[in-house]
Formats: sequence, structure tokens, C-alpha cells
Amino acid sequence: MTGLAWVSVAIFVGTYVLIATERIHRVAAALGGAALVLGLGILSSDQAFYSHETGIDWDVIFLLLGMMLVVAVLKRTGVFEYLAIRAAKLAGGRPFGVLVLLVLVTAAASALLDNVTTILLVAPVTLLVCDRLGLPPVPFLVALTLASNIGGTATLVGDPPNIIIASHAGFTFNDMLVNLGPIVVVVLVAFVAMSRLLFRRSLHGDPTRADALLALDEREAITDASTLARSLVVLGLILAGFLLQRQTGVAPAIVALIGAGIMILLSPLTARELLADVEWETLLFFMGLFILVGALVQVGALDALATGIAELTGGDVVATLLVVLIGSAVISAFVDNIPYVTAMSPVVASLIAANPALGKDGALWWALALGADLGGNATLVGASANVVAAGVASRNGLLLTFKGWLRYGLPTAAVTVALCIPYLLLRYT
Amino acid sequence: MHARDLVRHVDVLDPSDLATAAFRQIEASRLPGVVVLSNARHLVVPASQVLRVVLPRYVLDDPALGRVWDESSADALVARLRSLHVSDLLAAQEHPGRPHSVDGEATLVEIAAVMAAAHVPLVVVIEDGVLLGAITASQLMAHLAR
Repeated sequence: MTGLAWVSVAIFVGTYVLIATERIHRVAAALGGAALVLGLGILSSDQAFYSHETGIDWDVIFLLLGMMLVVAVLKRTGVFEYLAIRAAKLAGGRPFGVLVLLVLVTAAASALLDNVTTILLVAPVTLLVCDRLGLPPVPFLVALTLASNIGGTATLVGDPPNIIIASHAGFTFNDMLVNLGPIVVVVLVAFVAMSRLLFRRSLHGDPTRADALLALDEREAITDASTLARSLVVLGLILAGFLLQRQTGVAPAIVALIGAGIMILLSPLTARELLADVEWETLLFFMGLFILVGALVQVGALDALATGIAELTGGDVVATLLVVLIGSAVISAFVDNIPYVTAMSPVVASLIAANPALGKDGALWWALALGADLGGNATLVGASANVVAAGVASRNGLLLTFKGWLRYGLPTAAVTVALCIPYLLLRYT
Repeated sequence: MHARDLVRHVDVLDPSDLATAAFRQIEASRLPGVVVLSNARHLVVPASQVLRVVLPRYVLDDPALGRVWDESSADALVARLRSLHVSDLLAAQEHPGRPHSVDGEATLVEIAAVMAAAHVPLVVVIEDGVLLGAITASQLMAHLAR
């Protein structure tokens, strides 16, 4: 590698260390790193802002922006609170039944919303349900966060790493759903079965308190029925737009932006109120990361990494799939999976370019998505949703520690990633 | 018009008092908060902050959950106060650190500035180290409007 390549690698590593250790705010770290590579002339403005290979991936940015606006309208309707309370009541207040139904609602919601939003929506209602039933809330919070990370793996919009992968590899919503959906269903069933064992100590509530749960009136959670009805129609159209991408040729980012525009027009809330819900920090973080990784692509550093992996596996398809799946899971257990997948996507693209057998039906991309998405369940810092769940617990006077998380998260990540191995090998090799 | 001309009587609570005492005092006095003497400082706990402690945090995070709450269980919320003390109400203050008192010589605008800066609907009037009483926001507004 050239001297400039080593400088790029040093900036990249330094920035990622700052992000991982949270010594400075992650947006400041990402934008600071991006400013350095731009200031040193490693990337030109054309390469940073207009190139599909080395620049900011605007498809990802605008898809995220559109979905954030859609969620901003939808979450104010109370529909998620309604669904969660309805599910808990359907279980008749039986702790395991409540856990299973909340897990399923969370996983389904997470397939359409990003995981952090899902947790912010379901956590308060979970605390209410546990309060009513006299159940310890922390294990329930952990279970739903694990379910959220699992459910989000199924679709293009469920987890930000999937959006990055889809954009990089040119996958449609259906491609993601057809290839990741089946294994996510298997993983979710396995997780529900595991839950009985994992959370067994937390499933002993006071049976006499079921009436207190049944007394909740979930219909009261719906704050604005007409906005909800209109929002659900628009959400249905957005989903149809995603599913028909191949036929219409309209990219998911465009579908999400059009949907968001219609949502804003139909919502009684002002655009200013809805824009306040957009996570601008996240969008800026992505932009910084894309520039940082673009610099590595530009100087050929990621090609060198791809060559190293190819030498390690000897170009063997099975070995490469396993290295990417397990390696991604282990790294994502400790490093935020968004910057990880941003950096790994060009590496996977290089590996496939060098050995097309690895790209058969997108095999290596699915290994990356499954490893990065499910590996994040292992530790408290593995996924943004985990950290958010710990924050919700803390605000409510509950303690969710790294060790406490590990007890549930590590076995879940190990089993779910292990289940992906036969799936990948049987389906793609 | 100065602060000493507007004061009304107010009872002072101690941090070791039960939080239910604050609840009862607000109900009986119709004042928009209570005054607490803590570390030789008179502090105001607004009524809204007492309610904030009554409510579970998850209801504050998601007000829609307040709508699903049935009336019979709402009574149980006040029971939460029985395990708390006035010191817990002080600890839960959203804007701690700002002074909640003025001198007897303070003007109406000075009183308004203290109320606005500290987000309290009540300020304490102290003269020569002696508590004269308190002034509420509604009293102040009535005089400002004249």
C-alpha cells in the first residue's frame, strides 16, 4: 500500500476507536475523520459527494430520512401501544404467553421500523404490562430488544446495515425478504423456544393480578383514529412500493420519500414538529462514515483486506461464508454494526468480484447481513437498540448491566448465528 | 410595589417529611407548590413536580399510556408517594440549582425573573434571614396586569 493508503487507514482506525470508546461524540468523530480525508485531498468533492463507489450513499440517507418521517407520524397515533396491550391481554396475563406475544409483535414491528424506534415504542408499554402483572421488567425489556434485532434482520428497512447492504449490492426489498425472511422466521421460532429456558426465573407473576392487566383499555391508546387510518393506508402503499420495486423500477428511497411527503400532508402535525423527530445526528454519522470508507476504497486499502481474506480462506466458498458470518457476528458483538457494515460492504464486493462463486444468489451478502445483525445481540454494546433499552431501564430506576445482558444475549446470539450456518450452506453452496 | 407587600403565609416542609405531606399541603393550601427548607436554603417544589414523582416514568415517556390507565388503578399511583420523602421530590427536580427566593425589596419584574429562570410557580420572600412568606405566579400576574 502507498503512504497515502496508510494515512487513510490510520484516520479510519483512529476514528473507529473514538466511535467505539465513545471518547467523543460519534458524529463528531465521523465528521472529524471525514474532514481529515477531505482536507488531505484523499478524496475530491466529486468523489465524496457524487461517486457511487467512494461517496456518500444518498439512497441510504434518503431512505432513512423518509422512514424516520413515516415513523414520526405513525408513532403518535398510539397504534403500537394498542397492539402491545392487545397482545398482552390476548395472552390472558400468563407470563410466558405475554412474553411470546410481545416478542412476536416487536419482531414484526421491527421488520418495518428501525430497531431503536421499535424499542422506544414498545419499552414503555412493556413496563406498564410488567407493572400490572408484578413481573420483573428487565428480562422482558431484554427479550424484546433481542426480538427487535432479530425481526429487523428480515427486511431491507428493518436494520440500517441491511439498507447499506441492499444499496451496495443492488438488492430489492423482495431480494432481502426472500433470502433473509425464511431464516429469520426459523431464528425467531428458536428464540421463542429458548425464551422459556432463558427467562424461566422471570416468568412467575402473581396470577391474581391478571385482572389488573385486563382492566387496561387499549382502545384509549389510539389518539387520533382518522390519522391512524390514513397513515395505515399510506404505510400499505409504501410497502407495496417496496414489494413492487422490480416491476416499477422505483428505488426504496424514492418510495419512502414520497410516502413521507404524503404522511406529512395528511398529518395534523406541522412539518416542524415532524422534522424534530428526524434523527439528524444519525444521518450525519452515516455521511461521515461513507466518506471515511470511500477514502479506503479510493486508496485500495479495502481491496487489500479482501485479498487477505481470500488468501486466508483459499477462495473456498464455504470457508469464506463462515469467516464472514462468524467474523461479522463476533465483531458486531462489540462494535456498532452500522460502521462495521459500511466498511465491510466494499470488502464483500471485492471478494465477489474476485471470485463470482461467492456472489451466487448473493450468498456472501447474506452472511454479512446475518452475522452483523444477529451478532449485535451478544452484548449490551453490540447494537444501538441494546444501549437504548439500557437507557430506558435506567430512566425507570431499573438496572440493566453488561453482565446482566450477557446472560441472555450471548446464548441468543450464539444459537441464532449457529442456525444461519446450515441455512447458508444448504441454500447457497 | 415590593415583594414584602405581596407575601402570603406558607408552611415549610423538611426533607425528612413524607412526600404525602407535600401532596396534602398542596391540596389544602391551593398553592401551586410547596416550600422546603433544605441545608438552610428555601426551595420550591412545584405541584407539577410532585405529580411527576407520582407517575411512573414510562407514562411520562409515553403519555398515550396515561389514557389506557383505568380509574381504579389510578388511585394506586398516590400510594407510591407513601414510600417517598420530600427529599425524593427535591432530587427529582428538573431545574435544580436556581434560587427560588427573593429579598423583601424585590420588584415585580425581579420576582418574575426568578420564577421564569427557575421554572417555579412560587417564590419565597426572605428578609434579614427570616422567611416572610411566598408569592404565587397568579398573584404576581394580577399585579403586573394592573
